[in-house]
Amino acid sequence: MADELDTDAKETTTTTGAIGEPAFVDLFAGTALNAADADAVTLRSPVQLVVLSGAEGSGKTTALASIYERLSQGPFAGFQFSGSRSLLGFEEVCHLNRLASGSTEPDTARTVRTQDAAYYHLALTGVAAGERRRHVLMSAVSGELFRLARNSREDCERLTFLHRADAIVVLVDGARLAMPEQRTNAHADASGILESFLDAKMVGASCRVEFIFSKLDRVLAAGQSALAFLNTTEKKLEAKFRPRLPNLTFRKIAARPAPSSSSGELNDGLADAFVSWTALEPRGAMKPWMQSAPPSDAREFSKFGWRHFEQIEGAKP
Amino acid sequence: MSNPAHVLLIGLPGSGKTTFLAALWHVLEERSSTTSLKLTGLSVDRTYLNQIAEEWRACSQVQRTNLQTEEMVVLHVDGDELGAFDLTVPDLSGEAFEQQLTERKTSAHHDELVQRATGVILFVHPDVQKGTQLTQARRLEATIGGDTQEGEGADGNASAILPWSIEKVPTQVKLIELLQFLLERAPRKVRVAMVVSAWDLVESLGVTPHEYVSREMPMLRQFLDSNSDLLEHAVFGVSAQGGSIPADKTALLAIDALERIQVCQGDEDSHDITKPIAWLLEKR
Repeated sequence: MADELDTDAKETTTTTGAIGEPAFVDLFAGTALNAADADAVTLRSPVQLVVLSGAEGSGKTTALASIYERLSQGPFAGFQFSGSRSLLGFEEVCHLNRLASGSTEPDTARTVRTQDAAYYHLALTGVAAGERRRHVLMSAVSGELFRLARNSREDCERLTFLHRADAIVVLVDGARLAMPEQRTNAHADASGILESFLDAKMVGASCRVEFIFSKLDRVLAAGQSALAFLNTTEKKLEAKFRPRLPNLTFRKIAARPAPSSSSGELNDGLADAFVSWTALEPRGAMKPWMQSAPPSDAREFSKFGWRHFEQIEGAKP
Repeated sequence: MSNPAHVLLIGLPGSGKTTFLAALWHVLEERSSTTSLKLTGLSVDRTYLNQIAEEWRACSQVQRTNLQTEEMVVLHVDGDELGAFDLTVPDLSGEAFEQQLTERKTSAHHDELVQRATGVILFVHPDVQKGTQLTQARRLEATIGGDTQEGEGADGNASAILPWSIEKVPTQVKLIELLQFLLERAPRKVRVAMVVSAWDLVESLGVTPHEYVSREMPMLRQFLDSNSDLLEHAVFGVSAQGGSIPADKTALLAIDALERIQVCQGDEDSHDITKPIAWLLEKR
């Protein structure tokens, strides 16, 4: 973003014209960031990485899109919008919820399956006076990759960005919880994904982990049995993971509630969730992963936390 | 000796940049005593300024600038407590800014103008593309008892999904992106005078230009407010023509050309179109 003008300027390239003079200056792409782009952002500023995980259709991209949509309407979750390197990327994932799409029902395009994660950047400033600008990256990975990770430790270990996550959000698909024949699998999918992360040692001890029961409006609309199942699922997940994850939390949201639902409480769910995901570590706190060298097999982006930390350490007198 | 100053006009096609420049030239040439900036000498080449001002005086649509007709205008001006300036104002086409958004590059010439800019006037026409969300539309329908069936449009036919393209991006997002490009390339803190053009179209709403931007483009408002360490901004409502052309042409021709111009900043109304530039040049 703009507070890193000098660094950004170094990144831009010029295209030489026919007579030998630079004819064009390249500008940033504005789409969802790849690992290298995300790396560049993180080298300039401390960045919080929020990984949204979950099975296909669990609501990861809708949550991402809804955060952006709320910001486009005004301050959200105590933050003002201060910029983004991926504005076009956000616009694209919001497209199917726009009148201009020609659609008549709100929808979100599925994240395309690729080997690598895409990242969406937000620069945010707290609405309170004197707040500093902060940078947040939210990952978008197709649910299919999380399914593969659930099935194979090797595939799970490929998700190296998990090492760096400040918050890992595991979505439990509320729409499936609303359907008796689907609900047990919805629970098992979410539980299995987190179990795989832990088994492959992808979750740092200080990483906040949150189970999000998505599409709460659908659960409520399905009646008491669906809500009872959700509550039971929460208890089971708590019993299973709490001993290994002291920072585990649970939350229910409806990122894009149906028009007929009572929206007040549901809307607050997403704002509170975002505040929780982006809560800052106490000043000076060193994450356990910073105390050792990055794993040699880590992909470039997953190393960025170490890099930024090294820069800070190197800058000390 | 005059100080050099460079003011960059930024805006999408049809946002009012050339009409502003035409009205500005007429006002300066009239040497009215009521403006913040006054002309101290004629520019060497006034052909372009005279051409667009002629159209403006006749209440005709001022010809839009395109990539082939971009002009560099130099104005010699003086202002109370400001001093004398040789003011360079390139009249860049909105098409060039649209190309920045779609092709993600800027010409080296435009980049040089950004590097030199003393200040920027960001133009936006009040007819903004808002990017209305379906969730909001459906909620509104539910509130007022609309009966559109799921999967059907308002005409009852199943709708076809249109692919996403950058042209569908809301105006406020396009302007934020242009400002991000500017901040990325500008070597220093930037002053931005935001001009809501055709202000006569929205002044009946009874809001100030600042309130109008907050209401119609809330994300842009947040961007401007929360980047105060990188850019200083003020919002003006400017009606350079004074009304709609051709609908109001006869009425507009009946009044003094200087009186046609409306400039609103906060709660203050005036006819001084030099105000946004004077604000950019103020010593602070």
